[in-house]
Amino acid sequence: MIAIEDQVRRYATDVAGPAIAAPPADLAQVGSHQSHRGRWLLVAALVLFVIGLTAVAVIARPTDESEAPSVATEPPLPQVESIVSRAVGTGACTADGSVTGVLLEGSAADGLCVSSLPVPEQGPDATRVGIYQNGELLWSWVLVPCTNPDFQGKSPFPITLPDGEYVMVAIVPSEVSYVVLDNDLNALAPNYVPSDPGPDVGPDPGPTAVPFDVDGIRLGRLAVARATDVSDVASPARLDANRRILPMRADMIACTNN
Amino acid sequence: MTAAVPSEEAARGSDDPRVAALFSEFEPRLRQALFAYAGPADVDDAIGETFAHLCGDPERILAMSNPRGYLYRIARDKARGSRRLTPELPPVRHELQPEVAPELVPALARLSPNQRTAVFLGAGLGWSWVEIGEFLGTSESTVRNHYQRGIQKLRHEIGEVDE
Repeated sequence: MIAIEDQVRRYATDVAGPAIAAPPADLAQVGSHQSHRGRWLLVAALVLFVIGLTAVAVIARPTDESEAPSVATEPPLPQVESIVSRAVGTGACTADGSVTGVLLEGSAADGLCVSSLPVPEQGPDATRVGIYQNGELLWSWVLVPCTNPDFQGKSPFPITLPDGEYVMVAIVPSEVSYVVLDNDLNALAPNYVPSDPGPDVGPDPGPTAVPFDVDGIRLGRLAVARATDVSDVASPARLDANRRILPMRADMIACTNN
Repeated sequence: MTAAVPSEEAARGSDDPRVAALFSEFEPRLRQALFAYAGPADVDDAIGETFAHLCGDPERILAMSNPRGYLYRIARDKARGSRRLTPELPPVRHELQPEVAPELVPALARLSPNQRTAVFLGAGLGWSWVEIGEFLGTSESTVRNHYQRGIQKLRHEIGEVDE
């Protein structure tokens, strides 16, 4: 038997050429003649610069995304407007009208609906959030106050729409203005509480959503993003207006329990 | 395959020997990475635009702490226009069969871009997790996850070939 890895190796070297030795770690040094001392001074200056930026970011503690400090070492990438927001009003989530909620996606979703019901036994702000499609309950969470940074406020699976596309529904902290749901950000989104703004996600980060308030849900906002490729949808990451990933601070986060 | 270098700006920047040296080192690996990520169709354009980007502002980019990571990201964004489509990978040549299953190509194309990149570069071309992560802008452990999921999918879809 030929292992799958070996098949891939034979194919890859045939179509993309043989393996190439990695270039020097610091490409900025290629073709230059800086001394080691110069290099270390450059590194030290960069480290001091980053520490300074971190200190400014921590002191400033921005609550508005537009005030967030940016990483100044790299030129900005062009911005592309591709924000989507999905909510068309209130209505019945079930055929008999026993559960009402927010209708999402309009006619394209054939009745995708989010309901919210109070759960007083778990606290005054606790809410059960349910997702319905065609009158059937797909999933529900109980949203409770929490400082646990393990942020899992998303539907556990992409919901397939009648047109073959997918949506991911997420509950995000109330302060969040933009959300990206993209598999490329998997490493950053789950359990993600960085102390600094993260990297720019580039001009095409995938489906991006503007979260919106839902009556009865006080602990978060709803974000719904659509994708054509199921592998593109993942956990939510918070963005600023310039599409730069921001910290999802622990004190912003509610807990969700199935 | 050679990279298209489109603009006057790029031509001016390419006079800088540091830029030329950097790109001659960088371009072959970038080409392999983009091939894995988006398929061969957009590789030349993405490389050309990345080079033009570098030549447009070489001082600032060369002064970055990780210019290669930055250029990888630019190239990835340039190639992303087609990333939700299934890439058209070249078929397995007759000479490689039957050791390499023809079904490998459509199975590779069906992987997510990150999984395909991890598998193609890791298993196929011997890149390290760190190097792949630098291209994808993700951590080493995430690359390993993409690789394992990708290999599992391939194994599930085509199995292994009798030698």
